[in-house]
Amino acid sequence: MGLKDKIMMSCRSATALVEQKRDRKLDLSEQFGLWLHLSYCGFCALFAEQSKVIDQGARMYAQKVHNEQKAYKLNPLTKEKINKVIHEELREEKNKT
Amino acid sequence: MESQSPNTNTIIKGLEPEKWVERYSDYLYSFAYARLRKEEVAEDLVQDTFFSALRARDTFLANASEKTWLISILKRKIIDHYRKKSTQNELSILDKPIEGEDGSSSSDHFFGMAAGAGHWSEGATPQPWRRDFETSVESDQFYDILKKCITKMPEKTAAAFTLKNFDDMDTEEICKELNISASNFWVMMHRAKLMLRECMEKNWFNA
Repeated sequence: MGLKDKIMMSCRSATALVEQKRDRKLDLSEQFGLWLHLSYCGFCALFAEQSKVIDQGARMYAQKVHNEQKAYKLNPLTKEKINKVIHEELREEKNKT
Repeated sequence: MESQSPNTNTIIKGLEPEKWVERYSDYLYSFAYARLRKEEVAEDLVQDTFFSALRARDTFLANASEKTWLISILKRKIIDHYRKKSTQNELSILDKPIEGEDGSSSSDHFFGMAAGAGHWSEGATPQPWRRDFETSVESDQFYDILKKCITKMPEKTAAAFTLKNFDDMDTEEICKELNISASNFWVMMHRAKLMLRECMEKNWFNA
């Protein structure tokens, strides 16, 4: 991508950079190009703002998922089945020795 | 340390397989279910985890925690599951037009071509939201819709998104696990955000 394209970027590139900014430091021409783009493109500015909200929502959902980690119970029949296999294997091992 | 148990002879370096199901099955199942949202798949992976663990007991390091060890095996199973899924569905994302290296070459649902190369397509432009975030996150329905929007993404994209945002894996690790390049990863994350934003706008914020 040439310098001109970096500075006069499309909405596609601008929204891509908004996403990448979360993970890496943009270089100076990218930073400037993005800043410039967001200053005149209302749609992309709105995208950037809403993108942050989505990230925050995803983070809160992730937190909820982590808290749910003890919330579900494995089907008792499956538990019984697994237990049986484990005990059988252990018994076989013991018999070998 | 381990002499009180009546099953001393089955204890290998602090492992007690006969108690695994009772102690950890709900925990492992919840961990898997929270990520995959499919009961049968979560059950299968938990079952596989226990059986693999049983056969790999000699790789367990003494003094490690049994629970942490089992979770690490389960995580591996989950990634393998994503990986299998992603090879099956690879075409579904690759045959859609995605941006070229220069970021402006093709058109798709979100961005146009020709005169408006790389600019928002009509009908795909972000709209101001009517519902605010603070009240949204109080609602269970908000998370339900978020979950549905994530599952609507192409499988591989959803997998990368989940690993990044829910499991805090770093980009390099995700690329390695899912066998994709870094630039491919960013194309996927970009699309993921475009899809998620639009899906949430239509089904929640402006619904």
